[in-house]
Amino acid sequence: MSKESALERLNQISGGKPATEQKPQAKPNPLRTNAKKNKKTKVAKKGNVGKYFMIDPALIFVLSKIQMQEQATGKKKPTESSLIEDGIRLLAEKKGVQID
Amino acid sequence: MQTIGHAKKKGGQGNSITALATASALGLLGKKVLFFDLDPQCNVTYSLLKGRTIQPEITNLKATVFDLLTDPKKEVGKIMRKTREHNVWLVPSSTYLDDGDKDKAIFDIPNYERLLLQRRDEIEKLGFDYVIFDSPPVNSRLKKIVMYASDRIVIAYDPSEWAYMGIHGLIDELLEVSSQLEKKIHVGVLITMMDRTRIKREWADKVREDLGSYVYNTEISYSHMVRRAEGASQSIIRYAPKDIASNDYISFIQELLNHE
Repeated sequence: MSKESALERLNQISGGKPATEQKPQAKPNPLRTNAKKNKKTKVAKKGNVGKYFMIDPALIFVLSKIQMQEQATGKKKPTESSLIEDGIRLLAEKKGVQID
Repeated sequence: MQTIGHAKKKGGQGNSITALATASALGLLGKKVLFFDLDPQCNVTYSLLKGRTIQPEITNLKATVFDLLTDPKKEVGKIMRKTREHNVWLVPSSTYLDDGDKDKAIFDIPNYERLLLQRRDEIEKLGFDYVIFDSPPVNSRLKKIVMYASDRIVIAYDPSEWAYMGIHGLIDELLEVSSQLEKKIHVGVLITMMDRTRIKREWADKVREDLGSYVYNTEISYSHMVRRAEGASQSIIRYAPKDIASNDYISFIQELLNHE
């Protein structure tokens, strides 16, 4: 690559005739810095006052179905924490330790 | 008659799409346009002639730019074909242009770089207002043929670091041609596939900062309709005239014509 700048080389190629009349570019928005991005800001509660959110009706339907199923069977789907609890209980039983 | 070459160092910059859109827009503006496809990938040739004479697998047509370059007796008027694009004629490409054995027939000719330049008078007699050339990214010898024959070179640039490096490489090639020919070539960089991401804005600003008024003010927006137009074998301007990319290409043509 030549040592001359790209602009100087283009001037040589085209005899200094530019491709277009350059119009002033709009000032770009200042880039957000990481420091600002990481800064913890408290969201004012009053900002959400009077706002409401749309919930997908399909989601409500699915959740109510799961709830009804749980009520009918009397069982809750095992969660991660309940599985850990069960595991600890089994270990304790094997070692003869009682857990309340 | 004006000759506009589309050259690139790096592929995938929207160069062929820009060349086709330029031809289509000029044709719609009532200009008579001849499109020379010198890209052995034959994308534009396939697009403009699909459904008429060629299939994707068969790109070696009987009369192509290859015949024109290898045989001085062949006439442009007999090889060019009318396309579906309004006022646009095509000299089809050939895969032979980049065939290790067959392309020797072109590059062994002394001063092969001037093969199309020498055809200028012949093309002018056919009454064309504009001649558009499309060239491949990698074959610098074919690119040289295009550079020799062009009054103006448009470089499509999809803002990114590698594409930026490609522009600098291409400027070196253009400088060599310009000094060999002792003629001035007008060069302009066109920002393509622009979207709202910060990385594209940064690299677009970088090229504007470096090359100033050699970068067109118009920026071509990214649009998925461009890909749909490819599938429909049409230029974006003909396929989706109201699309944002079509709008941008029309602004670009206005800018190009205003600054002739």
